[in-house]
Amino acid sequence: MDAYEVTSDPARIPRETVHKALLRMHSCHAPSAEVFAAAFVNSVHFAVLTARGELAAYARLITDKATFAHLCDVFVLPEHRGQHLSRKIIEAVFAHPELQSIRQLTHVDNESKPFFQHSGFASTPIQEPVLAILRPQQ
Amino acid sequence: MTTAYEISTDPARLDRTAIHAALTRMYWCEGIPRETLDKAIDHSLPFGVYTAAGAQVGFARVVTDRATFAYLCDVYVLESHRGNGLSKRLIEAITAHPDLQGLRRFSLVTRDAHTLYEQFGFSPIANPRGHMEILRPALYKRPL
Repeated sequence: MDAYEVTSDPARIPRETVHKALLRMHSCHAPSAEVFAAAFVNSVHFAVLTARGELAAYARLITDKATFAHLCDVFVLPEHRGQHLSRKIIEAVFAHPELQSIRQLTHVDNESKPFFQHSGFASTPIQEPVLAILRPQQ
Repeated sequence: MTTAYEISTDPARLDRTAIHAALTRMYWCEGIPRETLDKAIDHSLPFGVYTAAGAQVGFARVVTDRATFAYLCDVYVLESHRGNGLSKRLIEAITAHPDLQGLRRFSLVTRDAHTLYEQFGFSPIANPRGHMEILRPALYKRPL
């Protein structure tokens, strides 16, 4: 089955379906529907759709389209796993014409780590002076 | 003690030539092309620090979706204006901004300003192994 397509067109991405999937898969980290709707407007999206236009996988980037991007809310729906869709998404991120001058691409996720290491991500070295305000429950 | 400085988020007030001149010397974005910086500013929430006469003496910008995530970067105060509490005022204005409330994550990277940021609730990442990045530190440096 090679009928999947990656799109960044927000008009083709079912926002509510994305949000419901986030609630199911990342319940403790998922924002409320209202907060997600606000975030959606100010993000760059990568959605994998089936030939019928149904959502199969998703990732969201917060970026200045020039120097920095943060990848979050990454998932592949269970029925579409094993078809390398997360790889397809990351390839689309790297190929996106507006993201070619990005100097720093970050991601936080323990679970999907083996995959992201294959995509060129490395763990932030422990001595790296990164500071953050983190509110995982919000 | 001078109070004649002003902090503004109005993009129209930014002196982009001055900002580029300052930032292109900084260790974290040495040699950044003007057009890359312009595009970055266009897609960020910018904060400018100005003298009463309107001269740009400090800057910071936040990359954010204004709902769940923010990344603070390109923070500077010109050396000739340091010692006036401006960096503290700047971070105060940023953390108080209405679009940057209730975020899931607010992060930054600093080499030596931990004390400044810790006053505003930032702390070193508890679990660095869960943080991943692709970093191209020399991307903007021109070949010799």
